[in-house]
Amino acid sequence: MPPLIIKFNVFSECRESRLALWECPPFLFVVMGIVNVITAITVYAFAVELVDEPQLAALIVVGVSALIFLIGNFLITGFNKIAEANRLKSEFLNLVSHQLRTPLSVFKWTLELVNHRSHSDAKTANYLNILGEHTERMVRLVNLLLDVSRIEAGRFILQRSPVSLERLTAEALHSLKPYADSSRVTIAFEAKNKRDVRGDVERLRMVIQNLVDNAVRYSSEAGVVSITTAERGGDIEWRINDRGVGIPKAQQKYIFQKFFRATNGVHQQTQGTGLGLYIAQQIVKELGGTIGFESEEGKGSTFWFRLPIYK
Amino acid sequence: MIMAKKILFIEDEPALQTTLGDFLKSGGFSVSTAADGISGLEMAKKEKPDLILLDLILPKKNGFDVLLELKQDPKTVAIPVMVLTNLESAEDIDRALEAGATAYLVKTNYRLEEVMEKVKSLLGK
Repeated sequence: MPPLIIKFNVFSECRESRLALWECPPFLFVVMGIVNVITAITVYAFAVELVDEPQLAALIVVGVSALIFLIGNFLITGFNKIAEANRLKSEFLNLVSHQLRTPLSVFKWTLELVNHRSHSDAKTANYLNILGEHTERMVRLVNLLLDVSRIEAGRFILQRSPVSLERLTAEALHSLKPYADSSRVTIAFEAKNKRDVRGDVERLRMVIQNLVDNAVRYSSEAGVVSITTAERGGDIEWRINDRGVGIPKAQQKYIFQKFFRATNGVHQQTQGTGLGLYIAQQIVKELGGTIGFESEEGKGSTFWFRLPIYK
Repeated sequence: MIMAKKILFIEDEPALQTTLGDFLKSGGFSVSTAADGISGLEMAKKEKPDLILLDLILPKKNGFDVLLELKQDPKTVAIPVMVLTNLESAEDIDRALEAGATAYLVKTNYRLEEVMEKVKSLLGK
């Protein structure tokens, strides 16, 4: 059954390229073929009825078919270009991010070595802190970009191993401490439940870093951020509360959308990609958990996520 | 005197060889480095280190192949291998663990202190 095999391949090809059927060039090609055949038959039926000379009828059929074929070809070429550009963009993002990681590892480790050596000068220590803070930010940004490109390419596969949210939070707080200190934000952390959840350690690290980073970033001057973990019916709930700018009610429904940033947030802080919460939601959902928030403009926000306990 | 534990660090980026290498030495380990897959394999067979730190993207022979060969050779099969790379897709992690890696760390996400902690726990120190 060759036609069935072709059909099957087209569908799987479209699924792999993560395009909707009507945007997928191989599918459009098949549709245009069918349209072409039907049109040829219809035109032939009409031509035979209306035109006496068989040669003229044949000419009309050929002419109309050729026209439809040309239009279809233009359409498919256009879609092909879009699909190709999309694929190239994802590949480029992936390549660049990986290439950026080696120099970033070098920055990070060299800075750590320098910090281990004694330097009495307070100014130098401050400069090194600034460098460290921005290296960490770059690491997080590259991690984000890599995952966005993976989600778009449909290759976002996560590990399912035991992960200690307590440990990840402690590590995230360590790497974000210089940033919190320079923003004069104090972070309190209390792990009421220390059981492991089922998840991907690097991705959950990213979720926690993003949520802590946001809480610090949008905190009012000299604010307090508190983090807790607790058990909630078979899940561990991780919760972070800030007393920052909050999210305007009208914009709350867009908060997990890619590239979205609340207007009051943009005014307070120019830095931010609008990718952190989008990725966080994708990760938590993929791991079978839930994520949400409560927020009031001017008063602060609470973000939380729940993940199943590892058994 | 107790002999210092020997670590073989297979990594093609000189700056990372220096930073992590120096840090591990300061923690009391004896560290040797190899800059490509083939010389890494040779050194592993010759020196019989207590632990191998292995990058995955390497010149001449990639880390996955190095790992497979280490685990096929009776002389090196028992040496624990910690993959230290900047690849972090689930496919790569599974592939490395299936090939016999004992641990898998993504370089940019770990501080030297954390790498050292892992090394110590693998060496039972």
